[in-house]
Amino acid sequence: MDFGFDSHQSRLRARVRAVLATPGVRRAIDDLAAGAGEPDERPLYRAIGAAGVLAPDWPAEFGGLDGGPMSVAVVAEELSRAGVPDTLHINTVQIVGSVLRAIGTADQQRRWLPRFAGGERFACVLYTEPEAGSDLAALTTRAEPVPGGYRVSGTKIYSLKAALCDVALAAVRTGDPASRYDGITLVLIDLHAPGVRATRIPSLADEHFHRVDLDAVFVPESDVLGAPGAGWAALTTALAMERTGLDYALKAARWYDTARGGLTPGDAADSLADLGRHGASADAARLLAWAALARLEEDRFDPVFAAMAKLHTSESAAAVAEWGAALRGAATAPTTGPARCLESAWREAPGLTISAGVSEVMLELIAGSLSGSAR
Amino acid sequence: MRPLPDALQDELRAALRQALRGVPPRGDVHDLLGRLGLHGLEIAPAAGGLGLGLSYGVVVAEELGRVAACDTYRSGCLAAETGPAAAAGVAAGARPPATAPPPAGGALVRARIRQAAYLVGLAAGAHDLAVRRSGERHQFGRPIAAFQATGFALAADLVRIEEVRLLTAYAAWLADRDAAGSPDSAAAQPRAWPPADGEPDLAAIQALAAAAEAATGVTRRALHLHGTYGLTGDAAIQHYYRLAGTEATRWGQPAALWRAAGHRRLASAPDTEHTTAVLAAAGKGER
Repeated sequence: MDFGFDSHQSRLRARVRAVLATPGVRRAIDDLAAGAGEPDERPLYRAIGAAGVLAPDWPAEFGGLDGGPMSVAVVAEELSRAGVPDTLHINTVQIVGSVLRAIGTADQQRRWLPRFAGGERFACVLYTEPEAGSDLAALTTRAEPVPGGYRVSGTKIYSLKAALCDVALAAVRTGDPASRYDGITLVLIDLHAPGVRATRIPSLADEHFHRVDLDAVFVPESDVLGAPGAGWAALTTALAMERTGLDYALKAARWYDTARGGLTPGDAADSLADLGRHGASADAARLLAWAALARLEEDRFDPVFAAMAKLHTSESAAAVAEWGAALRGAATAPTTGPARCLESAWREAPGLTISAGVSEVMLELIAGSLSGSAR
Repeated sequence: MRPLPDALQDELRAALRQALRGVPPRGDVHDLLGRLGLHGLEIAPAAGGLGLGLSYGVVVAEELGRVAACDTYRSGCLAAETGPAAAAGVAAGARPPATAPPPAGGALVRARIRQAAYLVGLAAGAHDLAVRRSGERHQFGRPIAAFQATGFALAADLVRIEEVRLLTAYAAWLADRDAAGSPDSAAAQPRAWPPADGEPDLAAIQALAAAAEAATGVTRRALHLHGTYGLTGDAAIQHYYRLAGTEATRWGQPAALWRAAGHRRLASAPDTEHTTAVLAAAGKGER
């Protein structure tokens, strides 16, 4: 086992740090921290994206640095430490970008990937529906064939950042509504197109959700991802590949450091064992995420290991947030410093064990791999 | 960065698992390890060993724990650290003394990491038995493993074992890296944000504390899933439970280890007047 970053990865780390230290980027980060309500991170991402470090694992022709999955960890760690919010980046580059790289046509990749990597265009996902939450096979948004493409109608909910995004990766039904798994198709939806309406759903967390109503939105054939009707397999693969746990592990580490830094002499003696325990679980979260990424790097993706990483990292981050809140009391809604970060973390925490695969589904996947034989 | 077993670790694990098959719980494996030439695995070549380092030693210790062996590997490595003469004897297959003075410094760090690996093995071995047994026991016409109350518990324990295995492997890697000395080029690289603050001492303490709690918790649940049979003298699982109880506290009680880990976390926080005041309030007596 090797837990050391190689010289290539260390150079990348130095490069990202240099980008994050430039006055324009620094100012954009400070502006976000100073603003009230949910911030618009697009100017910040434009500034970082111009330096070419947002998609290090993509080929250079798409604005990447030809690195492997582990280079994603280096960049994500540095962005997290600098206080750059992660949702737009994860959705655009790691989720929608990865699906495009896996099943997009050459034309689709050329059209979107360089603009995602450059921080010029942003993407979100439209999977969940009012009657299809964790059970995506129940989705009902219809895509009716019309000359040159489809007309898509339906309602998607719980989409993050939809109001800031240009394009959405949506799962829609092109086949027989009676079939659960056949006939699901992945399409790119232009969020500026006629018939798209995004409304805000307030959330406990700082980032609000959106309901996106699609009323006969035209989707050209050139915006269909993969074979029509074969979206289920692509969707389940994409969801499983998201489960490296990296983003949750970085939240655990950042919140842990914030809580540690905010301890007062009055807390110290009572907090030693908790400092030890939560430190270990935040460390283990990062080690699990690295191990999941290393499997991706060697094309040894293992959905059960990914489920273990998702479960552990999200539960650890939530536990750290709970501890951080208990140190100060979360009800006072502080406006500055570590107390503000920890109060915000406490409101974000319950979502972590729900998004990208709820903990019970992860346990089900792991338990299923055990039955019958000793591992 | 490649936090996956390397080819030699895989080979070592497979060979040991094969060789240890059929060894009864609490069996004496000293001679068996000697035939495999493993007593000197971590001992320097100058003293007749293989000089492979703790990253390979933890594989041996874990596999020994997996069969609940009464081994001389851990005590042999410790004895070998007292001097070249002792090291040569251990590498040549001499039995280490039954009792030894408590280790300190780097020897304690390495002993804790080996101990953590042995406890990971105990937990993993007990978990294997529990998975097999819960696939065979039936209730309401189904194997008990098919019920979520059972399956989820086994799944959560598997995650816990993987967590502690990684904490232990990371601690071993840090200890090996420090023993080898950092190359000059490393100093020029930007300091990362390493787990356990990059300190082998802290990494060893937290790996051992987590492994001790995982071993006692996982073996208890595994015994529970065996039903009353698990309590009987015939059941292998009760040996895992007993061994976890005695081995968990060998190099410190978990509660004390967690406090010590917490103290080190405070000590490595950015050095400010505030940090100094917090540390002073936390008590200087912690180690």
